Amino acid sequence: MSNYLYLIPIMPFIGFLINGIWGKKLGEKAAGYIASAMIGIAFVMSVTAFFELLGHDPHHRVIEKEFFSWIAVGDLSIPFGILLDPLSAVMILVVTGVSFLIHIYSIGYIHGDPGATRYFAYLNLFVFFMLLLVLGNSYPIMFIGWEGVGLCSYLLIGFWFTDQAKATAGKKAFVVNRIGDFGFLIGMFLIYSTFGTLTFSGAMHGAELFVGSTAIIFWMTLSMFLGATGKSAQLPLYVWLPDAMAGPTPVSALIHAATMVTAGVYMVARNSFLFIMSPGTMEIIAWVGVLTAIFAATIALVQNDIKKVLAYSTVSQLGYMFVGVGVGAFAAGVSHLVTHAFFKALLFLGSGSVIHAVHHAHAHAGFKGDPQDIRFMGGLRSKMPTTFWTFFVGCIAIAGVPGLSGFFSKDEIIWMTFANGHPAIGVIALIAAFLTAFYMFRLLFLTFYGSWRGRKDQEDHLKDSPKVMTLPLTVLAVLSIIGGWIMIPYALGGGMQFEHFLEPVFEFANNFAGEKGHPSHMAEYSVMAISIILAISGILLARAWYLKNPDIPARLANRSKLAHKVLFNKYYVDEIYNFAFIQTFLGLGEALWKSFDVLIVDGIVNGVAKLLGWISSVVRKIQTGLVSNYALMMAIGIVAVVGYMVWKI
Amino acid sequence: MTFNPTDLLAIAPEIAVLSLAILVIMIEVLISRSEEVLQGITAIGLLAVMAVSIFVRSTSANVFSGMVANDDFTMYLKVLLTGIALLAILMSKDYLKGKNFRVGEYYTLILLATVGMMILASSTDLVTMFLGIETMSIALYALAGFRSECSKSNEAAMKYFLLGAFSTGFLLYGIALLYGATGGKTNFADIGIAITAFGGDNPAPAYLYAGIGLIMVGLLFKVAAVPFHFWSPDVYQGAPTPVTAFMSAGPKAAAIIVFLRLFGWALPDMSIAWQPILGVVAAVTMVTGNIIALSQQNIKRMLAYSSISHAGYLLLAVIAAGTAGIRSDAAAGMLFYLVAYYLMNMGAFTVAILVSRARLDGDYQINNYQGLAANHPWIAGAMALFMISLTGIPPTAGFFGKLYVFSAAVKAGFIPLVVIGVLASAISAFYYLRIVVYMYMRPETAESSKDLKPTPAWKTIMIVCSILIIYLGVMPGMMMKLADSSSQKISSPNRVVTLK
Amino acid sequence: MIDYFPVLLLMVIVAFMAAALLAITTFIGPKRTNPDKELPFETGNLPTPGNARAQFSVHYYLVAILFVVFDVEVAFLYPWAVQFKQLGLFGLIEMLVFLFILFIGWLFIIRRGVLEWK
Repeated sequence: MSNYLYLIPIMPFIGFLINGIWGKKLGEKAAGYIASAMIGIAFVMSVTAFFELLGHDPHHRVIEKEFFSWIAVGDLSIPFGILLDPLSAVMILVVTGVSFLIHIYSIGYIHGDPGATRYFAYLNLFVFFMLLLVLGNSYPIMFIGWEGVGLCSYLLIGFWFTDQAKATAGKKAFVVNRIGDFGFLIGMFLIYSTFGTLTFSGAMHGAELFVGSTAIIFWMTLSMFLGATGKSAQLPLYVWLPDAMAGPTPVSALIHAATMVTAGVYMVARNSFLFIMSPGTMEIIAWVGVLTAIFAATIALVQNDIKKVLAYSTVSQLGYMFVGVGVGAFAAGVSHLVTHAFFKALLFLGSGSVIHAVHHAHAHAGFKGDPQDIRFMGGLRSKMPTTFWTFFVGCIAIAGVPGLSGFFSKDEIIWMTFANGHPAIGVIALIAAFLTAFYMFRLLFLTFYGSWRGRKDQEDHLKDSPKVMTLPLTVLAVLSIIGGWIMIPYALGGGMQFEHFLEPVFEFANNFAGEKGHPSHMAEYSVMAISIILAISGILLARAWYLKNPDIPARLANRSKLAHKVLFNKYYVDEIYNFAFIQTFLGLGEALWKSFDVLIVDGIVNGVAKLLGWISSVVRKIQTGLVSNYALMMAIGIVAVVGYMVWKI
Repeated sequence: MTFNPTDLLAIAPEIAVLSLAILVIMIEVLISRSEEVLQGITAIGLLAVMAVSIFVRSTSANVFSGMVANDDFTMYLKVLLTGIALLAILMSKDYLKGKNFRVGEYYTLILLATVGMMILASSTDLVTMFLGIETMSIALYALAGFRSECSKSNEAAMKYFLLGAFSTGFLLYGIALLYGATGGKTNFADIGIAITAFGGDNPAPAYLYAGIGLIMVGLLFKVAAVPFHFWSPDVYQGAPTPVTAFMSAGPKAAAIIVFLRLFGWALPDMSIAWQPILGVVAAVTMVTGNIIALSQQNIKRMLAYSSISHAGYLLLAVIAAGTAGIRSDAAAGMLFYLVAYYLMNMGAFTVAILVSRARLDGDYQINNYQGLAANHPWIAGAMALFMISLTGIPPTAGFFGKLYVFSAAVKAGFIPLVVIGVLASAISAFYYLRIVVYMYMRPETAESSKDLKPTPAWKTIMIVCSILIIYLGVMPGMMMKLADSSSQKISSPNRVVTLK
Repeated sequence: MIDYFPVLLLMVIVAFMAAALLAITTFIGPKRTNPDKELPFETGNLPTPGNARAQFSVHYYLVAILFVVFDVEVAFLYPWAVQFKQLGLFGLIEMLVFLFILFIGWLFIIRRGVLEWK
């Protein structure tokens, strides 16, 4: 398999070509099957590769294949190569596995949309770039994947581009990500100028031998982290993600929950050897992560759009992952990435199923309302049993109920903050965990419990989604339950097999950080207990407010109008950004345009163009069309050349 | 001088093309005048020649006492030149239809020109070089005037012939002077050795310099460098368009390669004398070619001036080859550039034929491209790609071609020239991208909305060129490696020479 | 350079002689003109009346050129025949190839009907 690793990203690319070129002829159904089949093949190959990797001795679990020399100019030589180590193996499994399920789900979801084939082509292209991102063995390849997924995300957010708001959301995602990409590029340049290479193994080697000021490492890692905040929606660049929910829901599940947005976490983990050398950056990452986690969680408390709640929840959970990698627990961060991919994909697909059903109910009743507003839902438990059960599993997984995947991965992160000496971050993370449990169950109760708050004629048309959609939900639900069982900590008698599998990748970072000492199991038990208590109380509070006494929230909102308003309007961040940056830049731009641009730049550009045009029209006249003139010109040239040559002696 | 029968293997590709030419003309006069038959034979024959070129590469050194090279570099050139002929023939397929042309003669002339080009590209001796140039040129004179019913075509042939003969005279004179100055040497390697004997008490005679200057002029005429370029816009405009495409790629490639071989491998010791003057010519060529192209309204003329400016970029590689230690870099860069240039130029001419055919009067005005993207998104997309590649914007083959040639020139220390080159390509963006603007941002007209009816042959050319341009633009590594490794081993046949 | 001095001397003498002869005849020759004498001379005939740019059939040139081509062929054959023994089998094959190519050319001309006078 290792010789054919390149086939893993190629498969979805073939799917993209087929659907992109002949999609219209193939029709929606065939396009969906082809797209899914390609991802399925890629998944099977990823599993094969994974087992091949497992067959190696743990410290030699690296397969690096260089296929050809990609760019070679002077001293810069970039081979096109693929790096398969435990980290990328985990990533390709998650990417291909989750995408496979989402592709299948999409067959049902996108059914009947005129752009269905285009949709599958984009989706395949996205998976191709994502696999390139995680499999590349050098920064430039990773960057191509990085840009590529951004492009696909842009295309898919604005998939229904005829809707102005949706097209704008796509644009916003594009612009905000550009700021982050700029950081990535600078980081890449700094790496090249410091280590003289752009491959991961080369940079790692360079880092091992590195002597000198760590200031350069600080700036290098900080710029790369800026890239990560853009792609992974962290403060202050998170603003695009909630808007990105304008895209089709499976896209939100795949790109904006399970895979693309975790690219930033992957990047930090991949470069653990660099980040660990700069404690300053690590501190910043951990703080940005935890602040994002609590900040987004508070906003999620009061949102009424089912997808918005999940979007802020995603931002918040990504914050946890950054806390993990920021406190040096890289394996814990990646663990949470994996489990989050399962349960967040599940939740998004579940919400998609709900929206799908409500949308059809609305359509049947001839009602034009927002199918995503949870205030007009309720009682779906009996109407959509499969969706309900799987959604329920997703909720308890993310809330951190013991035994499910979210519990183990999130708890490990929170525990590592204490163990690695960041108690303040740990406390904030715990509070955010409480909020998470609360807003997720608020969502669950409002959507599935109680009674239908819409019109009666709509209610009659509510029914569960087709098999093709519920099957992926079931699979993801099972994964959300058992996915964490390979991460059970020693304190609970587990083996932490997942962390051990990843260990060789972070060996350098762990050695660099040094042995932290072993805090007692007692401490770990107590942190665990607190987190369980907080999760349960969050759930109970949501039950009390939204199921038992539904008038409490309204009263509360009334009493603290200001706080509610601030939260509901997402801290006015969009407005602040709009005022602080967009308006200012627009104003500045206009001023500059009027003075500088029109007078000077345009003057110069137009002047140059005019001047060139004039010269051109004059010089052109030498071409008289007369052979004798041509011969004369040539003769003058000959005299000049030969004359110079002879005179030169 | 002894004859070794295995030497024939080294020129088997040339022999094969020549036989093919004879075969085609005989079939036409004796058996069949069917276009399909003649074209099929020519195309299949050329594919076979490619295979032969690859098969006989590097079979022996010092072929014909070092008169022709037989290394991997030469093999790539032969494959490239055969490829140019092949595309030209494919392009001609439907172009000739309905015109009262004698197809067999046409193909034969293209094949004969190809023989000349191949001899020229593999020559390592002044005599073979001259033989190649003349074989190539005479066929091209006839091709330029092939549209005998069209006065422009006749004019083109006449001008090309007169000026070509004029320049040939100087070339021969230069060869004679060099022969005399080096004590009777014509082989490139021998000339190089003979020149090392000069210096100190034994200064090089003035007529050696004059000879080098005259040879330079003769070759500059063939590559159409300013001020020896005057023939090219008129000839390019007047000749049948597939011939124009062929002329702008093939002879230019062959001539610039022999230029590189002669100046980089035989005359590097004289580089102090020829590098500055060639530098001036290159700078003037790049700037003038691009500036005049700005005001052209006819796409064939525009592409003619663009090909003049590309000759200027290629001259940078010749100049760089004069600096010790850089010549194989320069050769590799040039090989890559030639491949890229061939693809984008052939593609652009194909689109030009397509668009002009749809017009009633069949002219080549740039206006015809207005709003092309609306009706023909694929063709417009391909044309945009060719234009972007000609400008040298990544990720296209044109970008890496320029990058490699320029970086060789930078290595050799010609930074001001490279700066001029970059500025000149910035100017070129104006007129290349104007086509793109016309296609995408102007409303379509009644004329431009006509169906272009691309035939399978033309579609094939456009698809192949586009794919290869993108391939070379995204993954230039493989091609660059081939170019690099082959140019490291460019043979300079060494005859045992006893200096007097 | 000094080797070439006699050549230069010769050139100077020739130029001087030519100029001198012209000058002498101009100055000492008798001049008696009449209108007939002023007419352009055309091989004993009267000058072509009307436009001097009369057109000849292009076939005239073609035939002339082809004559030259095949005439030169014979010129090549002669030295080969003289050296026939020394050149041996290789020389024979070379000449056959040469003649074959010329034969193809001849065949082409015949089939094209170039030599048919229309």
